[in-house]
Amino acid sequence: MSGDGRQGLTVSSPPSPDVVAGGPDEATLVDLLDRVIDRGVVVSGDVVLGVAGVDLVHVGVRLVLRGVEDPGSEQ
Amino acid sequence: MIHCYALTTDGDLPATTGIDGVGILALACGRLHAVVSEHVGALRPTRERALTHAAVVARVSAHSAAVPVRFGVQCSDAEALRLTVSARADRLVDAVRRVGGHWELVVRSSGERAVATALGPALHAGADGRDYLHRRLEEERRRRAAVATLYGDLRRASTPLDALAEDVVERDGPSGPERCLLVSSSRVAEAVATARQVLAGRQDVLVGGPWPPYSFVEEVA
Repeated sequence: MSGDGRQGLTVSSPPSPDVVAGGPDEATLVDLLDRVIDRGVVVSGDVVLGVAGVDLVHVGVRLVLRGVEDPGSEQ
Repeated sequence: MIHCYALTTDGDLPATTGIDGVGILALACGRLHAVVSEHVGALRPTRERALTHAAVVARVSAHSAAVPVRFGVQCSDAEALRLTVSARADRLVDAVRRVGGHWELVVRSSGERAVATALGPALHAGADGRDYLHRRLEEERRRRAAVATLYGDLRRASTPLDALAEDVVERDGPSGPERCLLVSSSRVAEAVATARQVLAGRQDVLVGGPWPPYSFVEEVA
């Protein structure tokens, strides 16, 4: 699977990079990135671990990242 | 730091690597498995990493029933992630059963600023505050009419695809109104072929995908 993230169709095997039809690849890449960074399941919340009714540990699971930067700006 | 890609009911994973070339793991979370990779420190969000995330989700989705997790869900503690997923197992298992084994296609206008094009030229600025408010109201009315027109165009264009979809969601995307179609893996080949027939000779509509069903799952808090 290439790193460009384009998803394609092959029913009986892992998807190969492809675009269905119509429009430049970059256009549908924008659609894919929009889905990856702004849709899908987000599992979040706080978990409290306790024994015999006494809260011992409070653990937070947080959404850490939202934005996407250009690779050139990465340190 | 644990980066999460998807949730599945099957702990068997495809042979692939995740972000930064790190191998993926199936973290058992009760009735579910979280597909994760472990990294040193929080991952900075880059385009390359987001696309790698997408590629892993697609491979996992092709391998077994799964729901995609949004890019950026990370946790410093595996136990916390395990407990959080387990605590919401009913909703998440239901989501896997509902959309697992399905793919998403999107139908939208191919213009980058479809709504702006449909709106036409900007209205002349008014002389005072009252004129300003009237102008804004008129602009909003025109915007809603333009969006409704675009959705009508998209519905007509995607009619042949609707018959193959199990669910359809209409929403505003980065390029304007779009229709997202949920298609079973057993029909996605037919849907792709139909999409190509629909789009033959057309430059005004674009179909993207198939992708894992990101638009058909939601945040589970």
